[in-house]
Amino acid sequence: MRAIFIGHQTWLVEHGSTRVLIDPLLCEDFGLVDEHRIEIYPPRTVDAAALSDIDLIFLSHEHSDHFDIQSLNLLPRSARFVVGATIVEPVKQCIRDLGFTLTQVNDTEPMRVGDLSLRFYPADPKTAFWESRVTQVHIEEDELRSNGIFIAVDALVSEVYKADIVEGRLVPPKLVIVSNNSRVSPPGAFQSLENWGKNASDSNRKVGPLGIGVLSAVLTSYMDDFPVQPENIALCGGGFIKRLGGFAAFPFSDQPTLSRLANQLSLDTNIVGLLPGEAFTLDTDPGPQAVIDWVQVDKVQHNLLIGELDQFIDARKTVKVVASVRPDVQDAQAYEELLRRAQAELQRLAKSLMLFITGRKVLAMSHYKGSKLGPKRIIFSFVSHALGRQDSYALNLISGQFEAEAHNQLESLVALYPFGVCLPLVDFIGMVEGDLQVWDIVGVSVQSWFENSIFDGLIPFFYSYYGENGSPELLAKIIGRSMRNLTVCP
Amino acid sequence: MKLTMIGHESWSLQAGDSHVLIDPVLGSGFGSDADRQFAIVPARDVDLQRMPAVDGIVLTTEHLQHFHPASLRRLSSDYGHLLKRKVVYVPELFPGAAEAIVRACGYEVRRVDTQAEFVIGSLSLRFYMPCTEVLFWDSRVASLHVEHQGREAVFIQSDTRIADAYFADVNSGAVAWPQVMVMTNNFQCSGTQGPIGLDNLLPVPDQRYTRLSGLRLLDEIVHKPMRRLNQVPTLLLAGNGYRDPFGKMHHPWSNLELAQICSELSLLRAVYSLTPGESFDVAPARPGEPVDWICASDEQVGPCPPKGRRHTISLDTQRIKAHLDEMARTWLITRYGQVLMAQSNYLGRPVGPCRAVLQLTRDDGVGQQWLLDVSRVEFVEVPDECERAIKRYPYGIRVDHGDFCKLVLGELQIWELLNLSASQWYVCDRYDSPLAFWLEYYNEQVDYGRALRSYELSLVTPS
Repeated sequence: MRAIFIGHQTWLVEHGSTRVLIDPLLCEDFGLVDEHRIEIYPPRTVDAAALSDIDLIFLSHEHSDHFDIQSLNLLPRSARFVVGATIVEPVKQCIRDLGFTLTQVNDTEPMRVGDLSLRFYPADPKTAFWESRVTQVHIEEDELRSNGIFIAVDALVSEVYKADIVEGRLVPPKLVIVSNNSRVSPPGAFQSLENWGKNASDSNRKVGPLGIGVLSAVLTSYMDDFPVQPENIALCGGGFIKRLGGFAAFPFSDQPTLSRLANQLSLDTNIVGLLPGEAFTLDTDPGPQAVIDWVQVDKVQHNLLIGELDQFIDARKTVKVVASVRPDVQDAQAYEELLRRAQAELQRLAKSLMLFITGRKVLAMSHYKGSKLGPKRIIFSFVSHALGRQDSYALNLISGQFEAEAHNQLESLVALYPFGVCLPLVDFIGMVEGDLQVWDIVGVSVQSWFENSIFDGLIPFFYSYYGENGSPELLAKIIGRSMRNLTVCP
Repeated sequence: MKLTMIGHESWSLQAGDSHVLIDPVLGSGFGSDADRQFAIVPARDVDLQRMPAVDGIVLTTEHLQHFHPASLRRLSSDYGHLLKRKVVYVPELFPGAAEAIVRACGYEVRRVDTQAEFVIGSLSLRFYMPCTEVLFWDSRVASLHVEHQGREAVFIQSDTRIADAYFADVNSGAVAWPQVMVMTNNFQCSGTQGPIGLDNLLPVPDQRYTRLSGLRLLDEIVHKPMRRLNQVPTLLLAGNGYRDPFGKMHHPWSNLELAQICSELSLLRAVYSLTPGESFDVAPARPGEPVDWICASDEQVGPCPPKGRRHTISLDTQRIKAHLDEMARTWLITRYGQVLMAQSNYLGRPVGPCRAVLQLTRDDGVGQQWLLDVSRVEFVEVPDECERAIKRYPYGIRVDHGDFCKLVLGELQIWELLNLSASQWYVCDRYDSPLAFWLEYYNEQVDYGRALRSYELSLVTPS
């Protein structure tokens, strides 16, 4: 059995003539909103014709870096399409509308596919909320159960899976595939979960041996309670870039480099880091394998992007926050109309926000930056750079309502309130009304600040409230638009 | 400020006219036994005649890789003119026997409390001790913070955990932020010749060496400390700068290799390591000019095969038994004893009250075997079972008879014994093992008389 890396988190597992495709991203970019597609890194082309005989497609969850409609459209409808029990309805409908026969798996019983057995597991409930719908998969050879691969995707390892190993129902896998989605932003750059209250250019989140933390997060602490250390761990993920102002590839996303360094530090486990088009073979004596010429890395562009990153860091460049992802409003009237809609939305979300972790955290606080906190503790600030307007609203814990806030500069807001977000009004409304997804604007036009953990702030709130967990109808709208633009292939 | 590596964890620190020596081991090696010295590597010659005059000496611990009485005496008697003041500064729990030896070498000893400032020339220094979560044998080791005119500072971890108080002091501005931090890598494992240190004769996997142990090491000594400081310093890696005489000890990663790996995994902060004679300029946090009084030695030391039997004092059986019975009581009332008490089965068979065995081996004769009987709290001599013992008893120590006598008499320190001729097997966590107990039981601070003898002997060995 061998696992072929196609890019980001897309894998093709082959054994004999059986071929299973996981989370297919097959284009040079991906994204559910056509205007905001994101480039895959390292850049590569995939000839989807080579996949015309695959037996099964597995979709682990509905995030756009795993679920790409344009890619699915290129695949044979004869392949069986499998999803886990927690997948949302709009995605299932889309798959059916594309012409696939959908199987929804509700248990962990083995599914025979050719010479392979597949089992599907729900992610550990302690996983970050926005990844908690992930279904993980264990694939093993029928004839040799010790040849197994476990793909963990973007979630903590399933407790049910670990129990199956501990209690002897499963042979421990020889290869575990983990995803490295670290986003370490060097000075001058920023990422989706950036804390704008604490991103001084020499802070310990931007400078220093942070790559060790990245590796530890995916290779040691992540695997600490895995019952049997696997012989091999493969790194994937980190495979996309939002190119802004000379900064594209994030540091510590180059899996071959990371695996080389990790192997130097390992006395036992073998760490695998592949480029798209490379494969890892489980058997020690595999015999001749078909060459993978249908995935081609654009080496020139790859080196250019690597050089760009090095230059960005060395020259201490900075990335400007994008003025807006959606086209900005052009007149005051349009702005006022959007602002009214935003105010209505704030009233609608206030209760959920107070029950969400952000609300609970601010309730538990009494002081911030040395001063006693009043009842207003969370800020939403909307801007229009084209018009030079900014309007801010503070959540008042006494009234449970948002109130207009006089302070407007980001710096003063950060100084006074422990949690907040500042973003273009058009992007907020775009997200609220399902014209784009939160993933399209974070790390681009949004600035957020928070205390303590990255899981406590307003971006996680957006991921949950406006993502598929809280608002599947928004996802349905986005999928609908994407499908209308698509020429459905037979 | 200029930090120069003398060898292993010995440092020369200069700022303006002030010059401090830290943990100076100035000869080719250290060790209680003249025939079995631990050699400093890479080998170097320290030309004391050309060394700048010294304002003071600081010791972070009495461990023999840091505290070398022979070096101190040589400085004092042969190069006394280079010592502006003959003062040695030590942490608050420095053992009395070690202090006595330092005075005997011609120095005044100043004992300084944790976190209290002391001044040498134009340098301000402080010891930091973590006080909690430290292995017993490292519980007296202090880290050292040195600053110059409130602007430049360097921190030397030494062989202990970094105290929480240090991070708090730096982040609050109570002490100057260190541009440079020297972090310790003492990761060692057994090579092909058999187990060293606390490693296990039983072929069971040890957590210490599995699951990406090098990455865990770097997380401990490089990543986690860096994340506790608001402003990120430049790191220097030190440690493992010696070899055991028989080459049993293996260093899986050199400091240079680890520094290179860390640098590749770092943004805007390289990680460095120094060889003897190389220097680091603290303020710009960059390598500086090497010094002319330390240079690489032409002859590099290789492992030597064990020499023929030396004449050793052998303790008689009665004396050994008396010593062991004393040990038995301490063993059993500590958590090491609890581990023995809880072990009722081994290899599928019940074990009786005899759970731990001590095998004193002899090259030229039959060894002596003692069993620890937990129901009588004493050691009982029995005929030597040789290789069969490891299959009968869950815990055991095997050590050369002569070396064991030397240990008891203070002619060999326990740490040396672990890396020369002692080995063990156990079915518990490595830090609950029999030799871990011995590391505590024979520790320098526990027995004044034995420690004093050990230090006196080290003055006699060639430096």
